[in-house]
Amino acid sequence: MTAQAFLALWGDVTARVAALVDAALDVEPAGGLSAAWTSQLKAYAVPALGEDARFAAARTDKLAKGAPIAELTSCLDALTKAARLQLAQVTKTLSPPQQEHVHRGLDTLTAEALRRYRELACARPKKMFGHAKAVAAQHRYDEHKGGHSYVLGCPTCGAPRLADDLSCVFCGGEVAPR
Amino acid sequence: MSLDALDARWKTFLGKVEARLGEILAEAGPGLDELNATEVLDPVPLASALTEVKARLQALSRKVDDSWSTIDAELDQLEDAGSRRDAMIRAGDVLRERIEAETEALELGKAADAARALYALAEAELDKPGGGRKCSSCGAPLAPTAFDRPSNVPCTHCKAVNTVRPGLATAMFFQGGGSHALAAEAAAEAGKALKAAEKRFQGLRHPAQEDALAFEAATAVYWRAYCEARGARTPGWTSARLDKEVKEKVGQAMHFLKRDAPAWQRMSRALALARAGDRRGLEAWLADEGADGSVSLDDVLEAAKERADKKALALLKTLAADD
Repeated sequence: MTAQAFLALWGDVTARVAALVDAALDVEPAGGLSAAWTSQLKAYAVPALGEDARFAAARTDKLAKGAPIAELTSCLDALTKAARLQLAQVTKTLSPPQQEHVHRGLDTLTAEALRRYRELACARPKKMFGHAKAVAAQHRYDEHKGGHSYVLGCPTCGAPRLADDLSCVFCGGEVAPR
Repeated sequence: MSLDALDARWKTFLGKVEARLGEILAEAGPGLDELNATEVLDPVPLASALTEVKARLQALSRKVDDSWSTIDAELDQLEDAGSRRDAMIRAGDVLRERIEAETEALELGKAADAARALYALAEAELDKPGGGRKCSSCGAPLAPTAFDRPSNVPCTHCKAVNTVRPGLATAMFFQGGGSHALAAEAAAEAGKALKAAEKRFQGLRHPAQEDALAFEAATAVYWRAYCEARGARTPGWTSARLDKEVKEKVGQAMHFLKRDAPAWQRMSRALALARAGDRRGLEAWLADEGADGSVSLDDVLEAAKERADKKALALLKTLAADD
């Protein structure tokens, strides 16, 4: 066995796991059936659940989106089985502990993929009004609450504004905020 | 996939979307109420929350469109889809319209709730003699006559002219969106009728004068309901001002449409002749008006069909058969 052959095979396995999880996650609404997911099911020879069963499974699994977990599990099992056979060819020159390590790695990979899928597929959208509530709590305009009144004054002679127009009735200057 | 299976899949999907609509509304209602209870002087929180809700509801509507495209492509593979396909399209349309109506009702209702809370604050600001204003020159109480907007008030004691500004809630209610929100809510039913009238009018391939008049009437009913509700709370909205506002709004709505008025009138005349069974009159009219190609027997026939006008159709079909 060469390291390159092992790495190529392992890379292929991880890419297939990723493609499987991505296709399952893209299914919407939860428990639905997309073209991409259908082709994955076909590729791993996993029969699709019936229309009612798949939506019931999605409800039971509390999925917010994605294919039923049972379908993904079956696909991952099929993928693992096929990968084990392929890996056996390239790992036969390894020592038993090394072979055990590779097989454990495969189990860990699929288990982790399933765990991550469950996490992403069950994630509910964040609460809608987080930002709005934070802004509301600032009460940004409280300091401007009350109305107020002010009198403009003449900057030249200091007299208050006494007419509707903006010129000083005493010196003719233009009244302005004091 | 069989037609039954596709139909079932479509129904299941619509059921899921409907359930999601319920979830969004169930989350949005109390959330918006909480915002209104926290802050109404600042319009930003409610506006941004409503934007968020609308984005989610529009995304749901888009999902119906997208999924229909997939189902529709599969239906294309079947030969006997026929009326089942129409029923499936209608089911999708009904759900989309419901999403749109729920979105509007939510926006209108919550904006009006915010306006009511704002009005309560405005009343508290006004619940003082002179709105609690004092001359900033000598301290004597002022008696402003306008409470809803800034005004110049001469002090009766020292004669200084005070610029009096209303409280923020008062200004926000009367000069901001408060009075508009309550008026829009009060006119909601007329708004629905206007929307239906607009949909009908815009959906006609060959509108006639009476269709335009029906749309114009619905527009006037809406704006009168709106302006009356707004005028009831807004100082200075006399009946003359109200009439002027309604006239202007209706004028704006009809301004560009009225470019087509000659075509409406032509179609009205043709349909009237057909309805009256006046074959000779209609033929003469078509020869005269249709000479420049602006209107044809087919156009009038289509117009009668889209109105299901049986009386007019009777003569028009005979004319078409003889043509």
